[in-house]
Amino acid sequence: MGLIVGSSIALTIFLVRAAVNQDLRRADQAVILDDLVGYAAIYAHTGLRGVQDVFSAGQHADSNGLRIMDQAGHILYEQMSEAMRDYPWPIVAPTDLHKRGDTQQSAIAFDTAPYHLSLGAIRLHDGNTLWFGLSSVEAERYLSNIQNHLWLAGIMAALVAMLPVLWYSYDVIHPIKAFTASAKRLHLPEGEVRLIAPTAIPELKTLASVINAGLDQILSLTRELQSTNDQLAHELRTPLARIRGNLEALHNHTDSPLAEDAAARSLEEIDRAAQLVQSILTIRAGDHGALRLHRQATPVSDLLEKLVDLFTPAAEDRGLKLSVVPGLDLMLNVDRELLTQAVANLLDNALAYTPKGGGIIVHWHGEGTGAVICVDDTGPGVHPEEMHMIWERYNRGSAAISRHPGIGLGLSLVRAIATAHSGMVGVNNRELGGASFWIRLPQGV
Amino acid sequence: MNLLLVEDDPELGRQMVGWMADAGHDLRWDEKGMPALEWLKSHECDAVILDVGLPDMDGFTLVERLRAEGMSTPVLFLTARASVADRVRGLASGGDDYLTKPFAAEELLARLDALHRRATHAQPAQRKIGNCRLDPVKRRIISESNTVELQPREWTLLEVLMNHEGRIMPKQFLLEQVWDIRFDPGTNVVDAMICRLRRKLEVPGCDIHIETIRGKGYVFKSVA
Repeated sequence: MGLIVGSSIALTIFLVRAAVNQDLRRADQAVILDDLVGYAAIYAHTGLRGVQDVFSAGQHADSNGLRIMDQAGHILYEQMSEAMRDYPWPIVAPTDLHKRGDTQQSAIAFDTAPYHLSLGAIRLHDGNTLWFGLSSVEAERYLSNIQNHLWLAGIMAALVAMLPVLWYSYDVIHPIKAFTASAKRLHLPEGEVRLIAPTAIPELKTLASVINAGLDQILSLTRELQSTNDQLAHELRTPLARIRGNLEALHNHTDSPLAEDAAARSLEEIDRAAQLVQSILTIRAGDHGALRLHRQATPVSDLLEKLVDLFTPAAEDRGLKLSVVPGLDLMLNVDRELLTQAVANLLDNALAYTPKGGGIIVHWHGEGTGAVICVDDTGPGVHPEEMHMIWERYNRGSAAISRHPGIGLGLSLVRAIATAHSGMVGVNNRELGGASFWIRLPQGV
Repeated sequence: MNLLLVEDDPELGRQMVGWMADAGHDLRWDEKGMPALEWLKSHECDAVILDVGLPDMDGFTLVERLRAEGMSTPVLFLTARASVADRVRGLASGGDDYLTKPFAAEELLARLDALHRRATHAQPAQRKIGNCRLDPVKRRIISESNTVELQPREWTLLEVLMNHEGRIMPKQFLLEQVWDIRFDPGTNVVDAMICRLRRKLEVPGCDIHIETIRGKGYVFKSVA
């Protein structure tokens, strides 16, 4: 900013200086011509003595000089300051002054002197030459004054011009930055972050209040979803509990093996139904940002190693090799139990679809400040057209439908949990065969 | 055990009264929080089974008041809410355990047993099975002719089963006690681990039996 202002002032000064300089030179030339003709007339009427008198009487500062030389180049008369003498005055008369009254002008620069000398010559009536010199010292002083004033004016103007910039910065840029900072926190579970900018211009305040009204509505919908979820859980789980209790009584007190078996099967079904209710409610809340997370610092390696430990006997029973690749020591601030459940669902999935003799590998790596957790299998892979569909509720890939029971909530639960953590899920087929399911999670706040 | 049940659902209350009587526990049943709180002030009680949603106050508040009075009676919450956040709130209010409806009678009994053990600092179960000696440091079962080494989780599973010998251990209870997992992982992980433990314990002189009861769980019995 300062650079732009500085260079624009400098450019202005350069242009003004060049223009004024040109004008001053023209004025100097006119002065020189005027003086030459004047002194020539005095010389013609009163001779050298008259010229001397007039020149001496004039208020000549250090910047004027006068020299009269004959045709042979001898100096007949000379009057000038020491400073003027430093310039290389011509030592011979100019050859192109042929008749009386002819004039010639030139400018002489001199390395050691800071100024140049404007010089005029006129042929006098007796053939002698009168030189009149005018140093640029006055002009330079004048120019330098103008330059100083221009700098002052330029800086003052720039300061005045900064006022709207400052206003723009404080009332526009500043609030927008505050908005951005608030917007970055919008994904937080509390949902109570709002755009606040008391100093903003009215247009931005209006924008903020419109967005805030929208956020209020989202928050109230989220709270409503949470409370209906709680209510639904209560409405569904309490009757299941009553039925379960009575089935247990039947199971424990019947003498009929048939009735006991029926009661046992029903107990299993009730437990499955309760798990299903929980999954549906979790998915519903997770997909809509209404899942209440209990975040805690969690080492990824610890979480995955424990899960692999849990699933290993079941994998071995199925003739599968389950292993975890040791990786970086990563800490994530996540809901440990929900993330464990998400990875458990991926392992459950992998165990179900990987044929005997195959392998399942769990591995992870850091990405940004977060992590990506992968479960690779040597199963049939996922049909490219189904890669998005399998994450949807009640959708199952074609590989699943024929061989495995279930209603296809496992992967949607994984996605809901990842979404609740502002993360992502995905699947790709591995080059060597099999699928790789992954969960990408940010560090968490 | 002397137990107090605070539950406003008449059907669930009736069932639990029956279970506790079958299991040989004394149970007092209140349908509201205030009378329960008053009763606790003047009676000895080994554990409280407390429903979170009560007509006069919520269970969390009741526990907070109980703890504020300086009573350290173990409290087990019963609730229809299963989210982690709810459980954390329950434990933060001063509760000791948290059970989600619907639940198995055995699950409730096993948890009460575990709470009581913790409260009374009960000694861990025996250090012998039949003619086999147990070495908890090296996690080994030593018989006259053989030594079997167990993995850490296998050892924990064996310990939990031994501590509740003769009782039905529901799958969910074992998952929580051994693996700290409070959801159903789908795959039959507990079955697989029990099978593996059974195979490893097939040592001469080590006469134990882990029975699977369909729809209920597992029972550990040492024949000796």
